[in-house]
Amino acid sequence: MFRKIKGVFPGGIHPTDGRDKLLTYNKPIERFRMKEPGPPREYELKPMDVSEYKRHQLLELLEESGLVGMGGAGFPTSIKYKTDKDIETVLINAAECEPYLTCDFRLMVECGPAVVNGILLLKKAAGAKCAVICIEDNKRKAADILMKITEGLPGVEICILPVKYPQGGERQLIQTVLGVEVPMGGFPADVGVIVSNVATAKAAADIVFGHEKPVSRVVTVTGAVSRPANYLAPVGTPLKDLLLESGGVTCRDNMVIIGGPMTGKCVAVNWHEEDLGQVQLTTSGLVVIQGKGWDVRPCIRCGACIGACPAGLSPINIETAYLKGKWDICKGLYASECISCGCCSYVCPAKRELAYHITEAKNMLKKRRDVKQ
Amino acid sequence: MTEIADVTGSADILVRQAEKFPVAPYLRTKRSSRGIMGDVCIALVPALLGAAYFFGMRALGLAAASVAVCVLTEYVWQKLTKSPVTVGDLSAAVTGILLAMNLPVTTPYWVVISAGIFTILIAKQLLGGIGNNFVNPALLGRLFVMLVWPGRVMQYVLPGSAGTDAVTSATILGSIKSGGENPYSYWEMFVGAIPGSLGETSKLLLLVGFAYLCYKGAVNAGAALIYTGTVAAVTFVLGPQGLFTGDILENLLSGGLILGACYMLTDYMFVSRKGKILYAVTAGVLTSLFRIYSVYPEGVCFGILTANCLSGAMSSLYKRHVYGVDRTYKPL
Repeated sequence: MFRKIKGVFPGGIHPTDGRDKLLTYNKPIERFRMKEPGPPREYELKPMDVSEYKRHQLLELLEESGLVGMGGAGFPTSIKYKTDKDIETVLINAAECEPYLTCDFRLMVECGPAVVNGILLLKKAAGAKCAVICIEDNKRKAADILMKITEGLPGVEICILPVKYPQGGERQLIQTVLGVEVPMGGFPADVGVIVSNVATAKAAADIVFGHEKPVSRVVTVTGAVSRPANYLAPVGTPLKDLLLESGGVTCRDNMVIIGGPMTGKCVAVNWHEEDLGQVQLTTSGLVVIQGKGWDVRPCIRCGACIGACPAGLSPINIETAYLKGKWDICKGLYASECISCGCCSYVCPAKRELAYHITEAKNMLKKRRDVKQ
Repeated sequence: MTEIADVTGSADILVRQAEKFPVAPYLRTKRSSRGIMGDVCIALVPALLGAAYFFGMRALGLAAASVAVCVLTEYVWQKLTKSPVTVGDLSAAVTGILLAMNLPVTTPYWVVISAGIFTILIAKQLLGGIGNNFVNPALLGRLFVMLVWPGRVMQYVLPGSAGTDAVTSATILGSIKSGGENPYSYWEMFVGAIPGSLGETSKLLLLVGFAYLCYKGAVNAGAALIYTGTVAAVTFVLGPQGLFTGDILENLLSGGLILGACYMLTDYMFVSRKGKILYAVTAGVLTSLFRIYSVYPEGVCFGILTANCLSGAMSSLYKRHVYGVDRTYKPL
């Protein structure tokens, strides 16, 4: 069943034209240093009956497995689902609004039934009435596949979201799908919602039905590489090996980024086969972007950052206060509510490092609050 | 705990100290400060060429002198104060062009040079430098010469009569103010065959440039429209022969209204979207009142400068809704 969106979040950007996703859009997931799969098991073919599982059983299984959110933040799933709040809805975050990444999309296309089973389990684990799979409009193919699988399943809906970054931000997702805002300082559970990444759902199905620990994940290796691809790789695989498997970088001035290009972290510039760290459960991508950083210029007060902020903040004012060390002003300007999406830095014509500084300010405010307590 | 509290260096130094590699996001817009300012320069070219056509080559000479002085002053100042040199942003060049456009062709070179130095040194750098000026430097520069050398910068001439035998002529607003008649047709006023400052006579060419800026997405036409609309409304209501007798077209096409609306009012200001409406309306009302009641014939300069000064207060009137914060909640 399709569900209509109930809201829009302010601001937001369209960082690329979407062609970047096409690099890996139609390429099947390749197995990297994984043993060949056996014949597909039942849960990988059709939706299962989850009524025999009790909520506490599932929570125990999740806790034992040590599963963490695979969207990027890496919050332990069992703790998230153990909430004593009444959960109405589980939102399955398949927006994948980060440019370049297609790992979640390929997962939905290739492992649809397992994903749906995982969603049924998470719904049960949360004690929720319904689960909504949230997919951006540019990934209709995945939506259609999941639609076919979930046909006739009560309490599983699919919501097609407008294409806009950061559509997949937890709070923005809730705002779009349910039309409500998570109160300041609160959690989604406060408004009866739990948000989980679609890869987390698939992992939950593997844990419960497949009796497998979450020890592998799909990683998108793309950007300025010879052979962009999605790899199913074991946790702990050196990222360097993945990059070499993709044929290495194709341009001189490059930045190697773990995660998406908007919120990821640069681990190397002008890569020459040095170590990049390892695949973790939260590693969604390895993206190589051409470029070598930016010259920071003085602000020209165009106000673009204010218009782009999905949280409704005034990034430049917070940055100014941060650079002067005025913590009380940072607090008064709600630096604590920054979601570090990077929209402000993206739109800034003076190339100021707004998102970086505001995130620093947010961390500093948190530190100060913790010290006081 | 406040390890960066006493860091006064610029942001890029701070980033370099903290991070070995560039920081997220790794995709950035192709727009740049220099690109935007360059677009403004391009947008002003038609009006400048128009000025050369109407008033002779001296117009270009004045503009060149003004730009050179502005850029040089900024460069020297930043070298002397050992701050980062920002002339590459072209913002000083834009200020220079706008300043020249605000002066008549008869202005002596030394007045232009003093005005340029004042504009950059006092109105721009000492009031905070790029991004921190609360008033438009070019307008403040114009106000400065208007008050200091009123005789030098108010000798307007008829287009095509530059040179030694130049015919001095009052501007339209000036002659109306002193009880005279407007001898020009609306078409002449629109095309620019009227006495006035360098860049403000041809509304047509100014609008061509403005259309280019809108096309490039460098400005938002909303504020300019609201501003001109307000001026039209107020000057119509408070007409010279009693209520509702103002000549709307005459008011729109005379003086520096279009120049101010397109290139000065839209100068970037931190005012929220709703605040921008209030800002434009305020500037419009003030401009009209100055036009009608002050001793000066033109009110654009005063109107926009006053609104500039009020913009800080205006932006605090409208609080944006921050995600998750109760709409009725008031921060300190």
